[in-house]
Amino acid sequence: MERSSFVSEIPIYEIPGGIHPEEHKTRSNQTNIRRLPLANELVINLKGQAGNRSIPIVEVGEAVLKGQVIAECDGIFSAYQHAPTSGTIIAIEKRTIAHPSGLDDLCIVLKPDGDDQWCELTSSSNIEEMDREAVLAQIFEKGVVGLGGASFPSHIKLKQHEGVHTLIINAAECEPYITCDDKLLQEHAKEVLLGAEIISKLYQDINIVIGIEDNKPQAIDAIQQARKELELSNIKLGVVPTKYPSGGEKQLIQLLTGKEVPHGKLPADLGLIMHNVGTCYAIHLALTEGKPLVERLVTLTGDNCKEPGNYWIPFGTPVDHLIKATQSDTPKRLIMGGPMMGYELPHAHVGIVKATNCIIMSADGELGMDQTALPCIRCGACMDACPASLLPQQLYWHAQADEFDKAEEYDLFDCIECGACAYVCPSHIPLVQHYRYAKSTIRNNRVEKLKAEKARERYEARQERLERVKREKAERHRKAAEARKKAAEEAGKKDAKKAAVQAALARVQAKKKAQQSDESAADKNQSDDNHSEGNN
Amino acid sequence: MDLITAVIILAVLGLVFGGLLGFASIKFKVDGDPIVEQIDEILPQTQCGQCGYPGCKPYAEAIANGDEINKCPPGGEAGVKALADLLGREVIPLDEERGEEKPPSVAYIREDECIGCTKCIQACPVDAILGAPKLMHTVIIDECTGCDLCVEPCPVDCIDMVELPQTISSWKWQQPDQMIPVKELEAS
Repeated sequence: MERSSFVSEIPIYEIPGGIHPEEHKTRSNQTNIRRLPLANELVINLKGQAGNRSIPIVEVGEAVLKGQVIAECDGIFSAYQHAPTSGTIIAIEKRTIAHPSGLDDLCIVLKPDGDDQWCELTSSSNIEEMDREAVLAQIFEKGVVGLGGASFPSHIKLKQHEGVHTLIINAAECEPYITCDDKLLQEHAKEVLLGAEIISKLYQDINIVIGIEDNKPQAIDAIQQARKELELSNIKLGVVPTKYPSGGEKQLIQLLTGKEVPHGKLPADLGLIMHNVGTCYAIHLALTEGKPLVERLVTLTGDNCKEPGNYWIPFGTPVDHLIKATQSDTPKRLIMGGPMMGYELPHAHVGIVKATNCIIMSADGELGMDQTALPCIRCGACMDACPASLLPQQLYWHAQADEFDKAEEYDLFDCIECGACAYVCPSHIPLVQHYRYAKSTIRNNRVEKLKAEKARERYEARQERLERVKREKAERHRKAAEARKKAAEEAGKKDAKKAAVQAALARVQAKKKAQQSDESAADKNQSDDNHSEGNN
Repeated sequence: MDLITAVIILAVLGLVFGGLLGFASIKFKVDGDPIVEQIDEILPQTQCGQCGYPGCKPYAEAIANGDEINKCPPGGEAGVKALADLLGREVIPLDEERGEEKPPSVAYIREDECIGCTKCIQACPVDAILGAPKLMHTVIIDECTGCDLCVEPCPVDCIDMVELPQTISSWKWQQPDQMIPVKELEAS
């Protein structure tokens, strides 16, 4: 592929490892961004972002306009969802969602009316006059999440502002096949830069660096052009050599600053904040036009895709509609995301989400995923390829043997699941799958542990309560008995004489009773004797 | 003379160290048996009593006193293995008499049929059932350990044990197949 001759404006550092897979990018970045006809129904996944599931606020049968809020945040770590087009809500039910599990989850199903009519948009008149909180609130209300792949709610990422000195705009897009960020920059560089400007206004004295791989010469030209026109000379271009996975957050930081994000720390701890170009574009739209995030640029590609390219696709558009609209052949394998980090969809009736940057409609044998895994030969190629300087081989052994604590000792959770190790593995071992298995098992175990801890607390609290109730009851009885005794004693003291007389009377009565009972006992004995005689 | 000096020095040393040890044994005394705590950590805390003890803690104490480690079906094989690792004992199969390992489930009260007798509330070891006399009861799903203990006392049989469905948050990746590929050769 063509490489840009542009010399980076900031020094570029090295990252360990990395691979150079075939790029397959020219297939989808040769045509302009297009639109497809609307689907018959949109399936909007309420858990389409990192964090909590959004809460639906519309009812079945309700008519909605494009951009209208259809689901609210559940707490701060969540996102608003807006109607991607005008139409009617026809169901709120469980549908297969875009998730590697292929499980069902709550979705809002919207039937478009074809008018695509916007609701009234509340755009802010002057961004310059808005204070930090107002800008953040606008980003929050417009449902903006990170469009790089993790869908992390942007307002949370932007919240921390102490000590942040550099904003990095991630345009590296290192994964093969995907070209949506590239095309977005080629056609909308101005808007992206304006979005970056809005973000930079949230901080004091911040440097802006755009990190981009040198395999996007047109996008680099477009950025330069836009920068000149907008007179934003403060924005620096950092052009990094093409190598997968230079677009990973930690990897791009290392490439552009030479610093490694330490284990268990965030980029913000180093004074850095990173946003994807798509996110910048969305923030620009949210603030200048008041448009919520209702669609995104998606790369449709793969050998079976008949019209590969980049398309603006409303959220919730089912993948089978995309296959039909591009007159593509039924894909052998349907991948959401890139070939390295994406996952296979169980079937095509899955709505796209905010994180969907690419759909690969692959032909038979295109992705080479069918090779049988052979035993590990301890060649160490994975170690050389690991961009996080881990020991993939050791992680593999421990994950395979369910020795999760040992895997954690080898920093399993620093693995970014880029797949470079599995790519170079001569034995075709699905290494990343082993790591994912280990990670998800460890996470589940932690949750179970917490639950057990809670159950123990409740059990102990209950035991304690039962003890206490028993003790209190005993105490009450004791007190009552004492009170009775005391009352009796006091009564006795007051009227000792009367008591003496009564006692005497009682004695007499007792004697009489005793005599009577003696007599009756004698009678009884007699009759008993008779009986026993009779028996004999 | 040398002999006496040596004896005195040794005696003094003995006294000093003895005193130090005695002091340490009082000062750093460990309350309770730490091994019981560690065993209790491993047990699943369902408090179901399938082991024959009235809860997980009593069973932990019993294990520390030498009882078998295979009496906890909710802990499953993994639990037995963890206990064996901790205590340096042999891994043994689960005691079938105690029941079998079941998928995680919770109690569910069919609320229309509940007569409000509070019997299940009294049986629940973790106070996960809410209700009052002559009023409907219900299970707090997040707190229920799936111990089964409320099913038996219910006079109208309106409690079911329902398996927890898999959700996005409880889902985990499967371990890739580790089978050695087998090729069938044609018989010659």
